[in-house]
Order: sequence, then C-alpha cells, then structure tokens
Amino acid sequence: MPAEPAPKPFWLLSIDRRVVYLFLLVALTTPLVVQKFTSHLTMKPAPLPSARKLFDRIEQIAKERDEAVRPFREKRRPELEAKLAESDDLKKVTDPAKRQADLNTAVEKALAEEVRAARLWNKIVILGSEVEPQTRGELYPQAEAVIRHLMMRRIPFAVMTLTAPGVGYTRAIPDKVARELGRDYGKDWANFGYQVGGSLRLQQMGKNIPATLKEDVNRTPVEKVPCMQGIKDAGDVPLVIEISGLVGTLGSWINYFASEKSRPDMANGCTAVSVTDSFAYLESKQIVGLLEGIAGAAAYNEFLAEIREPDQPYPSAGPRNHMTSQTVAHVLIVLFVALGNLGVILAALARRRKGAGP
Amino acid sequence: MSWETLGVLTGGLCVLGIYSFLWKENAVYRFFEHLYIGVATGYGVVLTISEFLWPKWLKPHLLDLDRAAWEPYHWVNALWVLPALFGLLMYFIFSRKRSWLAQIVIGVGLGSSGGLAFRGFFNEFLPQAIDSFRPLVAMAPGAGGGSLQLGLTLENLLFAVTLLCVMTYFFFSFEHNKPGIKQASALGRWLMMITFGAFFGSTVMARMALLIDRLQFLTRDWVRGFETLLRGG
Amino acid sequence: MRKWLIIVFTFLGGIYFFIAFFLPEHIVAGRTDFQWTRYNDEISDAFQVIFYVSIGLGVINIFRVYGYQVVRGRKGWPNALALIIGMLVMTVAGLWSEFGKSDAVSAFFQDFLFTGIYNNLGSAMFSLLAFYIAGAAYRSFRVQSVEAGLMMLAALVVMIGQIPLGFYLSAKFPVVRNWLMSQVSTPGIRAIIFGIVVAMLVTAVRMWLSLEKGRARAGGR
Repeated sequence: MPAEPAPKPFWLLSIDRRVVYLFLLVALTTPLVVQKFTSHLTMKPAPLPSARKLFDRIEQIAKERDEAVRPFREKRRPELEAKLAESDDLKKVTDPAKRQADLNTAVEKALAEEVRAARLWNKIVILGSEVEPQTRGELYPQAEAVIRHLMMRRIPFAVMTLTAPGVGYTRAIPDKVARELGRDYGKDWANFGYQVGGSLRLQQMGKNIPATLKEDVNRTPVEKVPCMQGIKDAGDVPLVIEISGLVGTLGSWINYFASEKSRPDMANGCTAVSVTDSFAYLESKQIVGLLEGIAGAAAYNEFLAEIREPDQPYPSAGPRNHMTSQTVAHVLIVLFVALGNLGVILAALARRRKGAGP
Repeated sequence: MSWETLGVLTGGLCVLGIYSFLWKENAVYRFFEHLYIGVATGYGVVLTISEFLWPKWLKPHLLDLDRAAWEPYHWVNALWVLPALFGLLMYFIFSRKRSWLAQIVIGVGLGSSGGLAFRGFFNEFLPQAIDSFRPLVAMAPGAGGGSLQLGLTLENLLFAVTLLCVMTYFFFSFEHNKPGIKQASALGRWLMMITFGAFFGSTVMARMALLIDRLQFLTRDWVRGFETLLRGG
Repeated sequence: MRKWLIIVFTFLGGIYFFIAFFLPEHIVAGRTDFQWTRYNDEISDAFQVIFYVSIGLGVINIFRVYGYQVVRGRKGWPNALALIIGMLVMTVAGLWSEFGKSDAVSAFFQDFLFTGIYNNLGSAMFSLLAFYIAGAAYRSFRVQSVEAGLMMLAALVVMIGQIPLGFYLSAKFPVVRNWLMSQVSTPGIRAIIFGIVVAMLVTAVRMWLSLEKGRARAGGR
C-alpha cells in the first residue's frame, strides 16, 4: 500500500532559506550604501560603562604622566617658546592665530622629545593585538580606537601579537592612525610583531622585556628604539590591553605577564561572542576595562570625540556606521524569530481547524 | 596598476566566490576554499621561520650571528641544535614502526602544559572564586556599623543563588531527586537559560559584525578599486 | 621500555614549570642565592624550538594528501593544485619579502597575497555564519517552553541594549543589559567555568603523570 504523502508545511514555515539570506543581504547593504550619500542615517551608540572604564584608565595614565613631568615642562616651556618663535618657518606664517597654533604644536613636539630623552616617565603601555581576518570586523575598530587614544595623549606603547595572522595588522593600524595624528615610529610607539611561544613568551617578557623581545619588526635592537629605552620588566608597564577574539590569550597575559614585584593592570577588547566570559574577569576586577565587540569600539570613539583637540581629526565614522547596520540586523533577527514562531502558532491553529471540521 | 588595487579587486572576487556557497555548494566555492587553506598554511610557515626560528634561535643562539666580528664561535652555542634534533623526532609520526618516537615529543608537550596548568588555575581561576564570595548583607560604611544597602544586598544574593544553583545543576555526584537539590537544580536550569540567552544576544552582534565588515569592504573599498582601475591607477 | 621512556619524558616536560610555580623566586641561605628560574629564558626558548621545528608536519601532510590527488589525477585535482600553488607562492613570496630586499615582492606579498587574498577569504568564510544565524532564527528558535521563553527574553534585552536603537528608545536599556550581563550571566558562566577549570586541571595533572590510559599505553604493545 503506497505511503501517504507527507503533509505540506504551513506556507509561513516554508520560506526558502535563500530568500532569508537575500533579505538579510539587502537589508544590511542598504544603510551602507545610503551612508555614502548622507551621514544623517546614523544613531549615537550606547555609552557602554565597561568601555568607559578603559577610557578612564588611559586618561588616568596620561594624568600620572603629566604630573610626573609637569615641573620639567613648566621650566622648559617658556625657553622653548622663545627659541621656536624665532624659527624661519614660523616667521613665514602671516596669520597670528595660525602662527600661535603652529608654535604650540612645535613646542609640544619638542617638549615630548625632551621628556622622552630625559626619561622622566619611563613607562610603556603594551597592546596585544590579536586581530585576525575572522575577527577584524570587531577588533580592528577596537585596536584603532585604543591606538588613537594612546597617540592623542602621546602615551608610548608597544604593539605585538601572539597569533600569526595578526602580524599585518600590528603594522597597518598604528601606521594609519600615526599618519592622521602626525606621530613618529620609535618615539611614540614600537612594533614587535609576532611573538611566538604564547604563555612561555609572556612569562619571559614579564621578567625581562628587552632580552625577550630582542628587536622590533624593522630588526632594530630594542635598546635602540627610543620609547623602549629604560624599560626593564612588567613593573614598567602600567597597562596591558589585550585585543583578541581568542578566549585563552587574555588568560595568558593575566597569568604569566608579571615581574617579581608587580603585575600591571589588564584590559580586554573582545568579540561579542566572548563578552560573557570577559565580563567574569571584569566583575572579579582582573581587568580594569572591556571593549565589547563593535559596540565597544563605537562607544569608545564617542568618548574620543569628546576629548579631541581642534587640530586633531575626528575618530573614524566606521564603527558608528557599522552600528547602524547592526541595528537593522538585530531588528531583522527578532523579526525572523517572531515570524518563525508566528508560523508555528498559525500552523497549529490551521491544523486544529482542519481537525475540528465537518 | 598597483598590487594594492589588484589585491582589493581580487579580494572582492574572493568574497563573492565564498558567498556563492549560499546559493548552493559549487565549484567556485570549492576552489576558493582550497586556495584559502593553501595560503593560510604558507603564511604560517613564513611566520614561524621569520618570527621565531631565525630571529630567536638560529641568529642569536645556534649560529650566534649577533656576536662581534672578532669574537670566536663558542662551542656552547652548538648545544642549541639539541632541542631541534629532539623536535625533529616528531617527523617519525609518518613511520609505522617508529611512530612511538613522536609520542615522546608529544609527551613533553603534554607534560609542559600540565606543569603550566597550575599557574593558570591559581592566577586565573582563584581570583574569580574569591570574587564570588560577596557579602550577602551589604552595609554602607558609616558611624555605628553603617546602613544597609538594600540594592547591593539583593544583587549579591542573586549572584550567590545563581552561582550555587547552576553549580548544583552540574553536580552529578548525587541524585537530583532529593528535596532542595531538585529545586536548586531546576532554578539553575532556568538561570542558565538567561545566561545562554545573553550569550546568544552577544553572538548575533559578533556574527553580524563579520558580515557587515565584508559588506563595508564590498560597497566601499571594492567600488573604489574599480574607480582606481578605470582611472588607470 | 618505550612506554617508560614516554612516561619519563612527559614527566620531565612539566616538572620544571611545576617547581617554578611553587618555589619562591630566590632562596637565600647565607651567601647562597638559589634561583630555580635563573635560566628561564633559555629553557623557554628551547621548549619553543622543540615544537616549532615540527612546522614541516603540516606541509608534508598537505603534499601527501593533495599532491597525491594531483599526481594521480583524482577527482578535484585542480582544487588540490590551487592549494599547493597557493601555499608555495605564499611561502616563497613571504620569505623573500622578509629576508630579501625587494620592495616589489614585499608589496606583492603584503598587499596582494596577505591583504587581498588571505584576509578577504578568511573574513568571508567566517561571515557566512551571519547568514546561518538568520536562517536558524527563522527555522529553529521556537518558544515552546518557559525556559525557551526566558532565553529569548534575555536575548532580546541584550540585543536591544547593545544597539543604538535601544539607547535611543531609553537610556535605561544599556543599563539593564549591563546589569543582566554582570549579575545573572556572569555567575552562570562562572559556575560553568569553575567546573571546566577544575576538570582541566585534573586532566592536565593526569596527562602529566601519564595516568590517562591512552598515554600509559602509548608506544608499547
């Protein structure tokens, strides 16, 4: 006896998956295309408290640095202003306001050089950048935002990665931001590329940074990199920011990167998938701040826009635009779930009506 | 045309080739999939040699190229060949008769992971365990013992209850049908559902971020690549 | 004999790090300053050399599997050939770019191979997950029990709280989301992590002491 044909599924439950994919593609592409013509289609990102904590910590480091070098700066500033005001380049500028602005920039640059040379504040922030092709959507904006903050405040930092695919980004991201802000490699930051060995490498570095790193990506010995001079061990690192989609790497930094006497503050930038894990670290105060995926990067850029100097460019609009598409995506997912459940309810009602029929 | 422009244009084709899988599995997708595996393996080899084997082993230790020109080669540096020889035992994994030699190297790896696990346990896990012990009656500091912070007290209670109930759900050393344990386990399951819901909510943002990033590349960088190509750049 | 050799080396592999963790940095007795980790850098480097010289294993396997496909003209041999050529070109260009002094090869490697092909292929592969999430949201997420309803509600709160729309609707949404993550999700995840970490430590110790049946029998017949 031939088997009965399977009952046809309810129409709302049998939409082809390719239609769903196409709908998603069109819905996410539309805001990106429209944003090319107008910037009014963006919404202000939510100010995430965890991102604010990281921002405040870096601001605190800048304040500590400024306090340490303030007497020196106050002494040298008038001397440098008098000296640089006589320079030929400045004399050519006719507009008094522009001449004053250029003089301030030149004096700040010269002061930063002298502070660095005098080693009045011998610290360096370490940025572990595990940006990879599969996580670059969220982690690239995070790394860019944090690097921008460090460069805006002229806090020297060393960038490195514990994963092979992250090497290209350790060069590309700081180079991009440095071009916008006029910062110099070697003085404002150093790149140590791929550090092979994971936890063992971090353990070695915590005790002796120059002996472990040996040379930067340009094969310059560590002791010849200006921002690394005088840096010995983890005690000279006020903050480590680990930007990673890999759950284990933050744990490695927390576990292994420490000197005999001290352990630096840790912060994390993670993909949204790892947020629930990283929150556990934040709650137990093992990290001082957290960037939660692309939302964290977007929130951080809003904080940076608040402290931007007039002559500095705005932080990238990429994360803000991205969050607009995220809004569409999230609403779509909710709609798809609702649609699927509505289909189940309507199908059950239809079956009941058929069963109760004559 | 620069390599950068060619890279952007080729990259766009790679993305579209991968997305062709969404229609159905096809030869174009399989080609790009294989290409990715090859390119990723090659990149791993390049980095292992250029970022570790040369600058951290061969140059400073085995070949001792960092010494001054007038310094003679010290025989102790030749001992650095021993860990490499030991590591080469891994290649015996291809031999049916002598694959046990590769097991020695794997054993050293497992042993070192075991030794390092203690540090991980105490440095990573214990602070979280310590933080979990929160005051179940939170008092604000003040004269005469301070005042009760009701909000914080309730939060800490919720924290403790959630932690204990979820842990109870995973304790299989005793039956879950005893009174008290049964209810705690059921509550733990409910609270875990909230955890997984939060996890799902975060995952949506993560996955969509990957797609939006690619769409930003296609609508911005790839289009700009074509404009550069048409301009003759 | 083989079995014991493997067990001894497994134990020796971990004993240095085990002792390094439990001993103090310096043990001073009179004029003697004993430091177990005095040669930590060299020992760590040696461990890394042991593992990184085996990079060739992956390459050899690729040639064995895909090279065989190409040589024998098996089904899918053009893809296998593309894999091998991609690997060789990437390796040669990468090493030449690192150790040679050619800007053209560096640009080819960095801009075309790494940024153009590798990055885009990797990102595109992983971005397919977004489509699967959308498909799963439509097909599989059914609120058919109280637990499923709780899960969906929590997901909704987190999702709305993390996007600008949530902040636009109410400034409280991100606060509620944060509260949910820190007061409910964190202890839930932490309870799961406690179990995982303890199990991992126990497994690690068992592996180190070769108490696992598979390890104990390894190499012996």
